[in-house]
Amino acid sequence: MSRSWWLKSAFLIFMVVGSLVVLTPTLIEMVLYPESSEDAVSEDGARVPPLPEWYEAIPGWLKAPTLSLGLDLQGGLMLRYSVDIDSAINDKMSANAASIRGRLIEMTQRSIEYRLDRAQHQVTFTFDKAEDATKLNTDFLYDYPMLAIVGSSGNTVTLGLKAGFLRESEASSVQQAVEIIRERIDGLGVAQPSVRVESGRNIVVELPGLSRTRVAAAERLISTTAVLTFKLVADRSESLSLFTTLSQRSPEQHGILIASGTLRADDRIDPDTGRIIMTGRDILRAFVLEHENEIPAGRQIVYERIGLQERKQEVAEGIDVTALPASWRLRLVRTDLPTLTGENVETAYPASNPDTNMPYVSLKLDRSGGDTFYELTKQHVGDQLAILMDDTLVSDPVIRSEIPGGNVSIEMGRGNRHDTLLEVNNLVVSLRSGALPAPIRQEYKTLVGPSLGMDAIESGVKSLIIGFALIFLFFSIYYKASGIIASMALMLNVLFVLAGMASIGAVLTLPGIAGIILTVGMANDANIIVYERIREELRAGETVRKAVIIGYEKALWTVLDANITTAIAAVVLLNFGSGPVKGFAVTLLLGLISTVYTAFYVTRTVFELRVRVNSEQMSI
Amino acid sequence: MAQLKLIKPNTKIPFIKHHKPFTFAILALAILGVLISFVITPNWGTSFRGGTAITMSFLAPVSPEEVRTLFEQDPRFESISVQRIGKEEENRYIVRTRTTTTLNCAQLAAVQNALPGQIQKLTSQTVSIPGWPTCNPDIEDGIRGDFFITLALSEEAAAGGTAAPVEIATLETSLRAAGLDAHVAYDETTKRYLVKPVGLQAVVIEMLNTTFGQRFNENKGLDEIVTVGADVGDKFRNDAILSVFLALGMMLLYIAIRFDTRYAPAAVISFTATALISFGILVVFQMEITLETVAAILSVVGYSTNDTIVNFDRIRENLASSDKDTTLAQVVNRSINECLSRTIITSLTTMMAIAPMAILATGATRDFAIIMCIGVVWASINSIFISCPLLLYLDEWFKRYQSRAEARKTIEHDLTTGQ
Repeated sequence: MSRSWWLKSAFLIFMVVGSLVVLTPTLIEMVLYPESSEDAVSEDGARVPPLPEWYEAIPGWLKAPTLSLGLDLQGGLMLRYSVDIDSAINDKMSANAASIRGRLIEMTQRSIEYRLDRAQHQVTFTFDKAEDATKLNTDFLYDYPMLAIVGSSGNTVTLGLKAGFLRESEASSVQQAVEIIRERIDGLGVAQPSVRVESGRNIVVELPGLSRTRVAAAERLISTTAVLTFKLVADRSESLSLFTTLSQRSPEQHGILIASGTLRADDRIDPDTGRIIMTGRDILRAFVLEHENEIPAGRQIVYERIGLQERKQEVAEGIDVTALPASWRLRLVRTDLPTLTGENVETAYPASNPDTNMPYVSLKLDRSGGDTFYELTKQHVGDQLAILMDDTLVSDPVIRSEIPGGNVSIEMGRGNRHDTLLEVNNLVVSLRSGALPAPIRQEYKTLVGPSLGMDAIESGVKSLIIGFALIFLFFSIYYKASGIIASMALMLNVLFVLAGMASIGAVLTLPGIAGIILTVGMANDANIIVYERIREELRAGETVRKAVIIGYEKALWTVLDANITTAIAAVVLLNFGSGPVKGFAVTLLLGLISTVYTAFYVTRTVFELRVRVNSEQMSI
Repeated sequence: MAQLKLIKPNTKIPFIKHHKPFTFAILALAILGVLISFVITPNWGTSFRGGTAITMSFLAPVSPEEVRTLFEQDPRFESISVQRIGKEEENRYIVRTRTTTTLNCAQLAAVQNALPGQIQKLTSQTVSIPGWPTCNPDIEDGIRGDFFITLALSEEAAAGGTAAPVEIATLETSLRAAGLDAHVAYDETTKRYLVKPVGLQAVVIEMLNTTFGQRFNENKGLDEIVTVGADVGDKFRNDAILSVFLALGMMLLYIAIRFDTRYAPAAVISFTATALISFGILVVFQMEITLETVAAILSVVGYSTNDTIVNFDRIRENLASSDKDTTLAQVVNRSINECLSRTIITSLTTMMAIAPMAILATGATRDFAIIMCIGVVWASINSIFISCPLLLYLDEWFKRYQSRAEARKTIEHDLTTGQ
C-alpha cells in the first residue's frame, strides 16, 4: 500500500503542478490585460504593457494556449457564413458548357443548344443530328475533369458532375475560404481571432474584444469582393496642380491638412475611449465627393495610407509613431489607359532580392494580362504603377523597364526590411485572395459590447466565490474534517476542468459555466455518496478502517454509473449540438473525468492515510 | 463522535404508499409543459427564430414607447418588440425584429424601380439596368453583402466616351434617393459597379443618434446586436431538439444494459419530465429560449440522470441482499429512504453553487441560473416520485406479461400434447 500511496501522491502533485503551469498564461492575461484584448496589441503586434521578462523566457512549446473568454463573456464579434458552393459550381458549369459548345460547333459545323439545370448541376446538350452527339464522349471530356456523361438519348447528351466532385470541391472550397478569411483577419490586430469550419459548409469567425467601431471594417474585410486593379499614378506636376486647386476649397473645415503637395487627414479619435470615430480615408472621401466636378476626365482620386517609415521621417525625434492615429492622403491616378485587374493575376508570391535581401512581390499574369502589361510598361518607363484595392492605393512601384512575358516583380522600395516584408505579405494576400473560391453568405452575426460582457464576468465571478464559500462552510460544519477534504477536492475539480479547457484550447462561455456548475454538483455528489456510505457502515458497527474500505467500494459503481450515463449525453451533444451546446458538453466531459479521479484517487488516498494515522476515530 | 444529520438514520417515510397524487401531479405538469406551448407562444430567442436582436442603453431616461415608435416608423424593420432589461435607471432596452438585413427582397426591387428615375433627375440621362442581383424571398431574407450591378445609357449618350456610364457619386446619391445607403466602386474591365450597402448596425446607430441625440452615445450605446438568418434559426432548433432526443435514447440503452430493461424507461421518462417541466416554466414566464437556456435544460437533465441512477443503484443493491418475502415496493421504499440524506444534501450544495448567480446576475446569465435552480429541485423530486414508482409499474407490467406468456405457453403445450 505504501508504494501505491507514493505513486498516487506523485501523480496528484504532477496533475496539480501541470494544471497550474497550463493556467499560467491565462492568469497572466487576466492580471495584465483585464480590459478588452484589442487594446493590448499595438500596431506592430507587440503587447502593451509588455509581458514580464521571466515569462518571455519560457520557451513557446511549454506555454499552453490561454483559456480565452467566449464572446458572450468578453464582448466582440461573431459571424457565421455559409459558403455558396452551388452557385460557384454552376458558374464553373456554365463556363465549361459554353466552352464545350464552342468546340463542338467547330467540329460539327452545326448549331448546338444547351440548357443548364442549376438545381441538379446538370447540363443537357441538344444536337441537330444524332451522329454529332457521339462526338461528346468520354475522350472529349478529358479536358473537362469535373464533368461526366450521366445520360444520352438520340441527339441529346446530359453531363453531370463526376462522382465525388461535389464533396471534394465543397471540402476544398470551404477550406480555402477559411484560409483566406484567416489571412484577411490576421491584419485586424485582434488578440485571439478564431476561424473554423462548422458542420460542412458553415464558417464561424470569432473576433473577441473587437471594438464596435471596427465591426463594419471587419465584416467588409471578410466578405469583401474588392476589385483589384493596376493603373498608373498620374504625373507629379499634374497632381500637384489639382491638389493645389482643391486645397483652396477650405478643406480645413473637414479637419484636412494640406501638406507636401497633397491633402491628408488623420483618423478621428474619441478622446474618452480611444476608438476611431471616422477614418482619415472617410474624411478625405467626403471632401472629395463635394468637389468631384473639379477632377479632370480620365483621372481618379484614390486614397493611400501613410506608412510607418514615412511618418517617422515626418515627425520629430522621440515621438512614438505607432501611438499616433493613422494618416491618409490623396493620390491621383490615370484611368485613360488600359487597365489590368486581379483576374489577370495567375499566381503571386513573396520573394527576396539576393543582392539587397529586400523582399518583393513576384507575380505571373495570364496571356492577355501579360500582353497589356508589356505595352503599358513599354510606353511608361519611369512612371509609377498604381496597384489599387477598390479606391485605395496599396502599392506604387516605379516601372524600371519594359516587362515582357507577364512576369512582374513589384518592389516596395521604402522602409526597413521588417516593414517592407509586412507590406509584401499584405499585397500577396490581396492578390491571391482578391476573390474567394465561392461566394460566402452571412447567416449569423452577434456583436456583444464589452460592457455587457464585463457585467456577466463580474457577477459570474462574484457568485461563484459566494457559492464556493457557502459550500465550504456547509461541508466543514456537516462533515467536519472530512468536509474540508471534500471542499479541497471540489477546488481541485474546478482547477482540473479549467486547465483541461486551456490545454485543448477551448473557450469559456456561459454554457461552459453551466457545465462547471454541473461538475460542482456531480463532484459534491460523489463525495456525499461516499461519506453517507461510510457513516452507514460506521452505524452498522464496522471499524473505521473497514467502513472506509466498504464505503468506497460500494459507492464506486454508483458514482461511475451516474457519471457514465451523463457522459453519454455529453458525447452526443458534442457531436450533434451547435456552438454553445458544444461548449457545455466539453466542460461537462472534462468535469466528469476529474470527478471520478478526485473522488476515487485523491480523497480516497487521503482517507486511507487518515485511517493509518488514527484507525480509532474519524471525523465525518 | 457526534455526526450532524439532516435526516435521521432509519427514517421510514412511506413514499411509495403515498406516491400516487405526487406522481400524477408531476406527470400532468410535464404534459402541461408541452401543451402550454400551444396556448402561449414560447419566446423563441433570435438564434432559433431568425431575425435581429438589438440591445442598447441610453444616457438619460427614454420611454419604451419612444423606442418602439422609432423602429416602427422605419419600413426596414418588421414586427418589432421592445423590452426593457435591467433596472429602470439603466435605461437599457432590447429590440427584436424579424429583419436581418437593410435590404430585403421587396426593398431591393423597389430600389431597382426607382433608380433610373433618380439618375435621370440628376443627369437627365435615360439609363437601363441590365445587371441587377436576383433575390428570391422564399429562400433568402434579402441581400446581406456587396453586389454588382451594370448600367447602360441610351445609345447616343453611350457613344460619348469610355468612362463609367454614371459617375460614382451620382450613383451613390441616386441610390440613396431610391432608398439604399451604399458605397459604390466601379470596375472598368467588366464595366460593373460594386454596390456595398451600409450594414444594419450602422443604420441602427444613425437612427438612434439622430432621434435621441444627447441621450444616446453613438460609440458606447449599442451593447449588442445579433442577427440570425431564418434558415439557420431552424437548423439550430432542430439540432438542439435532435441532440436532446438522441442523448435520451443513448442513456436509455446504457441503463438497460447496466441495470435491467425495467429501469431504463422509468429513468428516461423521469429525465424527460424534468426537461419538459423546465421548458414549461420557460414558456409560462415568457423567458427567452436561447441556446444558453437549452444548455441549462441539458444540465438539469444531466443532474436528473445522476439523481435517478443513484437511487436505482441502491435499489439494485438492496434487491440482491433482500430475502424472498420482501416485495419490490418495500425494497424501493427502503432504498429511497436510505438515499434521502444524500439526495437532499446534494441538492442543497448544488443550489449553493447556483443560487448566488440567480440573485446577482442579470440578463441571460440570470435566466439560465433560475432554470438550473428550479431544475435541480425538480430533478430530486422526480427521482423519488417518478423514477421509482414507474419502476414498480413497469415491474408489474413485465410480470403480468410474463405470466400471460407462460400461461399461453402452457395452453399451447396442452394443445400440442392433445390434453
